[in-house]
Amino acid sequence: MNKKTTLIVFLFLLGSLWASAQTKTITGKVSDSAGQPLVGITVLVKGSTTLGTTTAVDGTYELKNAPANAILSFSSIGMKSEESSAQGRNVIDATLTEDALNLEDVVVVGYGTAKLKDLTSPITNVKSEEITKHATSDPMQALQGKVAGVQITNSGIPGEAPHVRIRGVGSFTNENPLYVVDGMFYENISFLNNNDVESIALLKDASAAAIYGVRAANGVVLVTTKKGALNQRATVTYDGYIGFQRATNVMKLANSAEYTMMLKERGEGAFMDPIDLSIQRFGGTGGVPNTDTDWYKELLRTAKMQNHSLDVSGGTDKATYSVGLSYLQQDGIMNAKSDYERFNIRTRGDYQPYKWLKLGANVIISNSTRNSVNHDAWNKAFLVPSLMPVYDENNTAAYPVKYASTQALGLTNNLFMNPVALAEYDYKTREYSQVLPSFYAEIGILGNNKLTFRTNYSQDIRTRRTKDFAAQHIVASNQKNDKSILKKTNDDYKNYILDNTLTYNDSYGKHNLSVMVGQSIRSEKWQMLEGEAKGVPNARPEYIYVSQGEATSRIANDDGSRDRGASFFARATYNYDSKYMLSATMRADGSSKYQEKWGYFPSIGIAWNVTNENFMKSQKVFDYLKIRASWGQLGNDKVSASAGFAGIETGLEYSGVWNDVLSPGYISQNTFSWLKWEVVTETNVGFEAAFLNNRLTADFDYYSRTTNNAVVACPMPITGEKVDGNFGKIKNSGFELSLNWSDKIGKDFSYNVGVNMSTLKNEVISLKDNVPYVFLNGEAITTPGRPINTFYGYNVLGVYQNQAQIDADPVASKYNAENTNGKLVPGDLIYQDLDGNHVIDAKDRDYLGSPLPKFTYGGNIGLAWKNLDFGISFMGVTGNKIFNSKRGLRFYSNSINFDEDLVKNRWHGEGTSNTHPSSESLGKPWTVNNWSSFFVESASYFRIQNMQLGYTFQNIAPKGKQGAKLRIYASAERPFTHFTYNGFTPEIPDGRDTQTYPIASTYTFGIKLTY
Amino acid sequence: MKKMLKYKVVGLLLLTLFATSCNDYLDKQPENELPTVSVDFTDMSKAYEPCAGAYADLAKNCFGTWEFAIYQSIRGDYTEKGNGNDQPDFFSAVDFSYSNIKGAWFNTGIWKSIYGRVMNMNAAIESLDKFAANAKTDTDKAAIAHSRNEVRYLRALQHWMAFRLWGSIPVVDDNAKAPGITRAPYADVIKWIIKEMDAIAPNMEAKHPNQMAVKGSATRYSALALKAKAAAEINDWDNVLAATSLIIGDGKFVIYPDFDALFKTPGKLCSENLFEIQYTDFGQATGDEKGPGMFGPQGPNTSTSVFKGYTPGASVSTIVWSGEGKTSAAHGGGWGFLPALQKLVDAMDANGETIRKDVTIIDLGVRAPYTANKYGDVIARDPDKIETAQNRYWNGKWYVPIAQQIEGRYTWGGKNNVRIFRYADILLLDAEAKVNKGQSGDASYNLVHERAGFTAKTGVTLEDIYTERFMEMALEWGDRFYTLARTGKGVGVLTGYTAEKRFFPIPLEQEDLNPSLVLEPVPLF
Repeated sequence: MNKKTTLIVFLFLLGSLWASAQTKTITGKVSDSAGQPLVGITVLVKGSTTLGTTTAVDGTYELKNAPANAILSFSSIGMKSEESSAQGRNVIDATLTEDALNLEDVVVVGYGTAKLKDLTSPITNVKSEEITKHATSDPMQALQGKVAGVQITNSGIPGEAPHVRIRGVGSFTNENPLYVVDGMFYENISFLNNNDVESIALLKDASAAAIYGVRAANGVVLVTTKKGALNQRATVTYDGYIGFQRATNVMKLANSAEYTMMLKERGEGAFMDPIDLSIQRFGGTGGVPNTDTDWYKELLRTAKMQNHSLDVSGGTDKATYSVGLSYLQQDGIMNAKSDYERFNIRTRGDYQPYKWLKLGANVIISNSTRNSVNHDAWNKAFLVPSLMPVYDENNTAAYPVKYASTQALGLTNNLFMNPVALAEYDYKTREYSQVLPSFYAEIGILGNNKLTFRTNYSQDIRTRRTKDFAAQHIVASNQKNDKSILKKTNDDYKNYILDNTLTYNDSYGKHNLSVMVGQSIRSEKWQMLEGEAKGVPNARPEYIYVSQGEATSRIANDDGSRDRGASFFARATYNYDSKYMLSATMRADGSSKYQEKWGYFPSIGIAWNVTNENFMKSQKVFDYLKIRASWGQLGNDKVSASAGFAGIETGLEYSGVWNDVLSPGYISQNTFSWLKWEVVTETNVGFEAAFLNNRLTADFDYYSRTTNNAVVACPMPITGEKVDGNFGKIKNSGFELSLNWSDKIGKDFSYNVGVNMSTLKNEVISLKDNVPYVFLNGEAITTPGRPINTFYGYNVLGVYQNQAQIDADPVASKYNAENTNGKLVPGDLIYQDLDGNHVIDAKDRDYLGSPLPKFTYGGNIGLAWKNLDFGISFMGVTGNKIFNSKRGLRFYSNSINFDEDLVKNRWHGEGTSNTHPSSESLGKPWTVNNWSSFFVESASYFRIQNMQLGYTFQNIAPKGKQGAKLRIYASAERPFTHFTYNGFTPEIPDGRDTQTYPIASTYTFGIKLTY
Repeated sequence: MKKMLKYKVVGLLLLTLFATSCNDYLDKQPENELPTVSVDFTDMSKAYEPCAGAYADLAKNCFGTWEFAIYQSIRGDYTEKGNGNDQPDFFSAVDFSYSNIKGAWFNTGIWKSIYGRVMNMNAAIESLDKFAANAKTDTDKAAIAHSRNEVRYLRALQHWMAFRLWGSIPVVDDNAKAPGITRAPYADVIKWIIKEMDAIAPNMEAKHPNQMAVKGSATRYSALALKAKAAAEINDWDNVLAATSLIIGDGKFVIYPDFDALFKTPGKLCSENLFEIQYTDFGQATGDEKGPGMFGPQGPNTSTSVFKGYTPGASVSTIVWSGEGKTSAAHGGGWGFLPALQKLVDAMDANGETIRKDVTIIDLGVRAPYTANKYGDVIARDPDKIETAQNRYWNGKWYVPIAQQIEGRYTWGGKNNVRIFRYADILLLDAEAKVNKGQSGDASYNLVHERAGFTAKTGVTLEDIYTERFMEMALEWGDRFYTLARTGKGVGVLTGYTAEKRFFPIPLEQEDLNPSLVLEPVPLF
């Protein structure tokens, strides 16, 4: 290749650089400290990204066209790198030792890669083995409890993406991180199989994330899918498991005897109607209904789950490939049409036709189907007492199945429905087809490819077909569908991103410099078309078409959106002798979405590798110590472009009626505002250290993130109508610490222990001028100095034990003098009269806790003896609260069922309880119309996240095919969870429990065959 | 060749990089959103639209909600909450345990329904002013001015309905004043309404609403009726009389002879009504409809069905309860709120009421499965559920026979209009004002009294007038309670009532939204 010509073209761009044209071929062998050959070691001419190769199975390599004075670097993940000069040598052997700190690991950063040791920011890289260990449908679910500062809340619904928060909550509108899969932006990665993932890198601080500008405020999750390695023979991997899921921590509700007792204590009379009616209709003994239905038992089942994946990957000296298939199937634990099925095909090829050119293409095709039912069934199971059976042959009106109706108990409003019937008659099927093609080309321009140009085009083509069908049915007048209702929705997404980057890498003595400039355009397009009809026959699934419905009932609707973005960005990293590191990024983001089109997001990071200093050579405490600090700004553009309504509303609803004649009319409103993105400013300081001969490592970070321009929905006076505006300022800060210990005892036994923990302090700094607080449904308040959505209400001091106590209490006696209904009696809650005016009123409300955990922790222990391995991981959160909304529903009806805690711990006579009100009090306005600490419970929990026992058969191939092995394992996912909250799970992202899906434990048996 | 290839590839890629013009690329209108609709304020054919919108908004978002009428009408000893234990918070409204409802959802919800409309009406007035600025002809100018007065009337009507609930309330006559607004003393709220009506009534058409080109829209007399009703709240008899004498003197209204038909479909926009909120199904079995929200909730509850085709006098045993979902059930009754109480029946019997009792009260009997009525309908209750259907008496004024409804759209109360002001109400106010001022109220009183089948009285006393009012207006908009409250006669009659409990507590949520509401009321004048 004639470098002169190339240079002439680019001379004016980048100045003069001259490289030697003398080349030679270098060979050699790489082995480990025990002398065993090492396969797949990268051998690279220092300063070049393309002039290199990898070692073959026997550890040998051959590198052609190497400069005569080249310095070769030998590196591999998990090994310490070595460098050797080729000056005067044509054969270079190398011995690599294991690297406990993985400092040479290359992690993906935005639009490039970097070595861990050169980073100025905390990036947590989670590898494939950590993810495939877990029997989860979404790779992010597998990260729960693994990464300090990342809070993951799983939902029990099959196929549902978990809720992910990185470093607290800085937005009211959107707290989801950005997912970047091979260059493409996503809102979640539930389309990926755990086995599709090579690694997940979490960019937590601004210095790492700011390169993603306006999308980065909630953190960035970089996902790399699997690829092959150069000079690697074809490796076939099968990984699969089958197992089952069972609900755990199922909360007990009152049985019929307890319910009868509670309502008798409530005050007999009309309250007893459901009991009397149950006895009349279904029989009873001694005033207690014979029927005793456990609705949760009726709704739950043991559900199966399985996953199979097959991967073939390998590479020659110029090309690598990886192809994979995976199939996941998961039934929901609700005994209804609830399941998830996903089939993925993944193929990736990378090819280097010339030294200066690398090409690659990657396609993932994901097809999945989710069947879900009306989850409100969980809620109804909580509300409906046990007094009626599931089926009732005498319910003559019921059609097509003779389900029992709550009307038989006199519960006629639609708060009450037969939960099993609800789960049966109302279902939704969602079919997803998703294709993710991406293509890149990388061109080396200057000598030794010091300057490379890369272009990357990625697409996300997605279709979601939703079929929402409510069958024709009658249980009773409060639960029926006179005509079936079918709604089909087709959502088409077509997104693309085109990135072009120029990267320049060079070294001058001890100065190492890397500069990247880039440009990106992206387009996000969504089109929706839906049709709806009534009276669709449902005898067979083949009939479920809108066109089978009644012609007059058909409605069509469509919608769409198209957002475009254009960005320019740059990053410069510099280090001096791997001691002092500096990294700076800048991104300019343009968006079609907002009135204000352009935003600018800078960041800077510095790091100091103290152990590389000469004065540290003599000390023995630190094997490694790096101190770093960073600052940067990030944006969140997942907020709407405008809020409110600036125009008029017309149509039938706003037309006047004059003696049965219509005349057009309109109403106008002026609650309108333009919005723009939220901006997070983040500072991070931390260190990484290794002690005790690299056996103990520590990562520590302190961060402080402040969201400016946070979109707050400030209510208008009087109407309470909320108008969004970029008013708020929210601060999140905390510490993150990870500690890992790993060691060997003897030759055969190795173990490791890791813990991670993080604290979170969430605080609203300011809302709008003159807006001291914003309420959420009355039970939570957002106000400066407190966390977002802090629960708010009266402090419960105890329970009135006797009449004398009531008479002596000025609050109670004043209340009783003024009200005829609901007078206070023993068994009622005592509220704290904070302002001492003897009336429990608005000024007596206090802050009762936040739904955000103050402390999150996780850990793992791994043991390996010969071929046997055992691992356990755990996690937990503390310091957060849940608002038990389900208990607060009693103001709708006195006939709602009771949870066991309310029964067992109720006040029922002097001295029986000072925490729980009497049965009578539970339904009184004093209790249910006053939000109080009685409804706020601790959300702390501790969970064993995973336990796994495995055995590996090494070298199973008959003809010495190295590396062929079979691992068999048994695994339990979430086998144990401890919490005190009176609900099914304390994992509720916003802390308001209405109808959560119970948690399931998953027990699986699996094999992994590598050949 | 290689170098040429590389040169070309790089050149091409760089070209794509710089060829894209960013700002063109970003200049993109949002999809599926028309630009903010701008009204053409010069098009006089649209000048009535803000006014029509105000009526429609009121009909839908205030009177169209079920809880609005319940909350307005729930107090008083002629009715109770009803519907078993459903919505138990309303119990505290009935028996004046107001500490319990400051935070109740309906207390704040209805505040928002009312004031949301007020704010929309203020915006409508702004729209009308813009039309007025462009109006060329006197006809257009006059029409817009009249529309503007109609909206002001509706806005005052909303304030009056808010006054009845909360007394000392903010007067929002300009949306700019809304943030941080304080309450006005309750008498000032009334004075403001009177002032508003004095300002607009003389400029409104002196017609019966059914004589208006826009049929049923507010006229001078609608405004005067509001003035009279409002003034009576503070015993301002001069203003009551000023208004009633104009209404009566102009002679546009007469007592509708048939007390029954008055409340049914034939009585829509009849000679007696000064103002109605109008609803319709356009006489069609399918398609658009605009239905009232207040009647259904006040019918007997869901285990009831109403059948048509019954011949009065025939045996009802041939009609068999056939359950829900069967086509033979014409419609499924109501929700069970606000049943009538025995006390009302007793009071009517004691007063010798026949015509009014027959119309006002539907008697379903004690656990009777069937009740045949004079309209040819049978009201049947599920025999299995009669045990829990404790309530016997229901509001007959809100009942519309099936024969007067469109097939396929049968409901309790049908698409009847909601009567706001009746001439009988005005006449009784007139009599009350006159007697209070030492004049004779006989003439007005007897017009009402005689229609009820009684003979004329002379020298009627205030007591006579109150009794007449209780009988005439029974179960209409809580008139029993509001009369007892404004006359100070509630204490001792209504269990748990004291003078301080005339008004509900200001909603907690509203005080949270606007802390100025906690302050002492600030006088308007």
